[in-house]
Amino acid sequence: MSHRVSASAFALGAAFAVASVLPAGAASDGTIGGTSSGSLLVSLTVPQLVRISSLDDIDLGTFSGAGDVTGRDDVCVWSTTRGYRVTASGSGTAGAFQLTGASPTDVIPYQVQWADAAGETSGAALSTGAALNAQSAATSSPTCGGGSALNASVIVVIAETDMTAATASAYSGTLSLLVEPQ
Amino acid sequence: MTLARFGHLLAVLAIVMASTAAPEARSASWIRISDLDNLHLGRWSGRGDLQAEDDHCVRIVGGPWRRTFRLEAYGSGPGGAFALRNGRDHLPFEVAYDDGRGYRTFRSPGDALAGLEGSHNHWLYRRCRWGHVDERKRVRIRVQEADLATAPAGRFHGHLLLMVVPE
Repeated sequence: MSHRVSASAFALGAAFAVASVLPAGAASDGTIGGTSSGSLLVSLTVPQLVRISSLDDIDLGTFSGAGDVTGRDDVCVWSTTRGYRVTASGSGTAGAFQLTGASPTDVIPYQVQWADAAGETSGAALSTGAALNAQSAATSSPTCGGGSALNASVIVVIAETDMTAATASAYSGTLSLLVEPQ
Repeated sequence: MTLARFGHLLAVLAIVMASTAAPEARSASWIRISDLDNLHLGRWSGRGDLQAEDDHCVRIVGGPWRRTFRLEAYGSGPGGAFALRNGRDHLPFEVAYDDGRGYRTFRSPGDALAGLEGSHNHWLYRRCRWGHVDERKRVRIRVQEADLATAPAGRFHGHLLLMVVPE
């Protein structure tokens, strides 16, 4: 057993000795002999990648007649840079954050907030088309562990004054979120 | 030409022939790995494993018609680990070897794959061909998706050293 250990140690030492004299970056053939060692370079590139996932629809429910209406969703953002910026746009005119009722003239504006942690009930306010920089993607899993460790929150708020100004209808809209590596 | 000069010429020729033919004729345990190329696994798309293969030649000279060899592999990671490096970040990779009878995977650096089949030993044999049959060996590097997903953006590189020993 001890012989085998020492033999392996010698082989490893010999291997590193050979590797240390190799020209950097070049494959090297072995020489002919009792043993022969060759070396090759292995390389790959991990590009700047980002992904947002685990998005769910937000149902704000029925307005009770008083108070702001809020809704939220936890999402996953993975990035090989570990950081990102997020840009939001709504389905209103020019990307406005608006919900539309039965009539195209029935609209309710809403606000969007973003936090780079899950479970948050408030965050940094987003303006349509304007990036929120320097967000942290604290996960090494593209799916945040299959959704078990989400790492960001999107929050939607409709002010009470906008709700009371709206006519009775069912309102809906689409919120688009763009994430970019940073 | 005098007899002495002719004798001297024969002696020189004998030395030259001995020096060029010695590995083939004398030794039953000489070996060479050659025709290795760098392996560029490319750019990860964000999904799937990355892998690449290199065909090369392992030629055993002298001795029986066909022999087996042992292969040891070492990476340039800490302790010879199979790992690519980008600054302080490491990315592990898997090494497998095919001697023409299917891939066998190294369990860890320094492990030996034994009983690998060498190419035919013949004095005409030079470039890993036996007649029309290609007798090249193949090493495969694979980086798994799960490891790539945890790696930060950047270019990773490392060396793989292959040592062959006649059995």
